[in-house]
Amino acid sequence: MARSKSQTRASATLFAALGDETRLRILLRLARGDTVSITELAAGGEITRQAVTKHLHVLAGAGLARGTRLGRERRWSLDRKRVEQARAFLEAVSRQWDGALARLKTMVEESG
Amino acid sequence: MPISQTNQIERRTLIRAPRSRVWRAITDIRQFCKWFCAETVEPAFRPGAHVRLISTHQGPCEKQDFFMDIVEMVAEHTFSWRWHPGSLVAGEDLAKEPMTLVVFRLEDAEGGTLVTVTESGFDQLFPSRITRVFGENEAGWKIQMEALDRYFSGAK
Repeated sequence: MARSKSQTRASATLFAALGDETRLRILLRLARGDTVSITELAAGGEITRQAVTKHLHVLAGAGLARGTRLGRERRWSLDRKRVEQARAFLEAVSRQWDGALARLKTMVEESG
Repeated sequence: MPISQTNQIERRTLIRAPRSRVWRAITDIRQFCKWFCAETVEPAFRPGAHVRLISTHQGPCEKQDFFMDIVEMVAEHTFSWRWHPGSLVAGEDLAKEPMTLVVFRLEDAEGGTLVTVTESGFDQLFPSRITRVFGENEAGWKIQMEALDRYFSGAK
């Protein structure tokens, strides 16, 4: 019934990265599927380039966003693999419960 | 969409035995250890107890300690505990991390006893509800973010 410590730790980092509305808005933009520059992300005027840069680095630290240098600028995109890991975590927990309940059922029904 | 829909895992099984028998299998610590694949020196579960167990489940967690903080025991009906999901290594940071709540519920059903187990509180670890909507439409995102925002405001 156990999940590894690193799995739990990684999920906690993901949680912290997502716990900010500005970062969620940036993720929303990245989730459209294209790559964007810091200038484009700051274009709405709601947040400064400095703030965008700071948030992108938090997202990159949690493995949610990825920056790639393209010519003179850096383009940012969503790292879907990290998101899949979070989903896989919940699925693993479900499977562990299925296994435990199957063992409980077998034990009770066979012992009469 | 309420938080609970993705914050919680629910699993059910029908066991062909009376409720009293299933209750003993879940709450008698010796019987619990058999199907849960664990060992303990503790004599019994009781509400409020902090129970140390050792996993005997084959795999990466074998022989690792884990703890159950027993919450509620309502005879033949409800057994619940809190724990750190997957936390078999009691690190210092772990104590500060949120725990999930596991609840076993027993009900009479045709042919035996219906056992429902729920584990909730995953949103405290990571907002899985957000991750589920990645790549979906923007309206969905907006709703999710608003819900999450309300959740964070309420949780502070």
